[in-house]
Amino acid sequence: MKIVEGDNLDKKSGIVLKILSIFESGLFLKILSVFITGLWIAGLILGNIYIVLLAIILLIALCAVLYIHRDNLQEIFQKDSSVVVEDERTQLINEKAATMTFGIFVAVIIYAGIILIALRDSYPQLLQAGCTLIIAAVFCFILYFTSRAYYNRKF
Amino acid sequence: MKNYQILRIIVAIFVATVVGLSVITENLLLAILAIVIGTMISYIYKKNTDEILEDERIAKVSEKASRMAIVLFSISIAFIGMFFIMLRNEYPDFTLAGFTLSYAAVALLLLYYIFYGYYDKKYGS
Repeated sequence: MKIVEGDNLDKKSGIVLKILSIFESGLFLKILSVFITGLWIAGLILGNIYIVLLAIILLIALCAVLYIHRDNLQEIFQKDSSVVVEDERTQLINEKAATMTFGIFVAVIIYAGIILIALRDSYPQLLQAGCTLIIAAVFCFILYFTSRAYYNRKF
Repeated sequence: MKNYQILRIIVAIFVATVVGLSVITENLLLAILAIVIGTMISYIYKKNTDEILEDERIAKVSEKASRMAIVLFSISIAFIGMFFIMLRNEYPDFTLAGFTLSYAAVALLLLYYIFYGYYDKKYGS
């Protein structure tokens, strides 16, 4: 009798594990990611903060699952596929493109910000845009130097 | 390398001070002049020095840091911009800031993909 009960318990826990594994499958995570993007867009169009909050909560849940499985993300998303997501060449191109983009973008937003702030008497309505650009540039610099310090320590 | 770093700090302080003053006095020409002079000093020093200004490790660190900064920055400004636009009824004062950040995010992505295409071709696609 006890053996039969134990078998039933094993079967039930097996079903629960199977259901749980669906939530951790690559396809489910991809669908969830598309759904979250849809929520962002819907929230933006409707101007509804609650939809965006729901998207944020789902995003946090997604991030938690990805963080737990951070060591076998490739296995989850690629399964049997032999497609290489990023090889050394792609990595090199990404890094070079990012360096160039960073330099030009920051320079342009600083110049644009300075011009808009300097012209505040002629175009007072654009003063906020100028300040926003300068603040964004400062934020970008903070991110850059923080990650630079991190990689300096890492290498 | 140390001399170059000191020079860069001095140039940065000079440019920041002049630009700050020019913004206060609303003199745009002074700001542009200061930026051009600062860039020229840095460029001329780089051209004429025999010092090793950047080794492979520094270049690698810089590239990796740029990538990380670009990723985090683009996500952050896209989200912040979106929030400002969404809250346009509650906080109408920040709508312009929201649009500015959103357009900046679009420009950033556009620039990134242009350079990605360029380097993709350069390193043989």
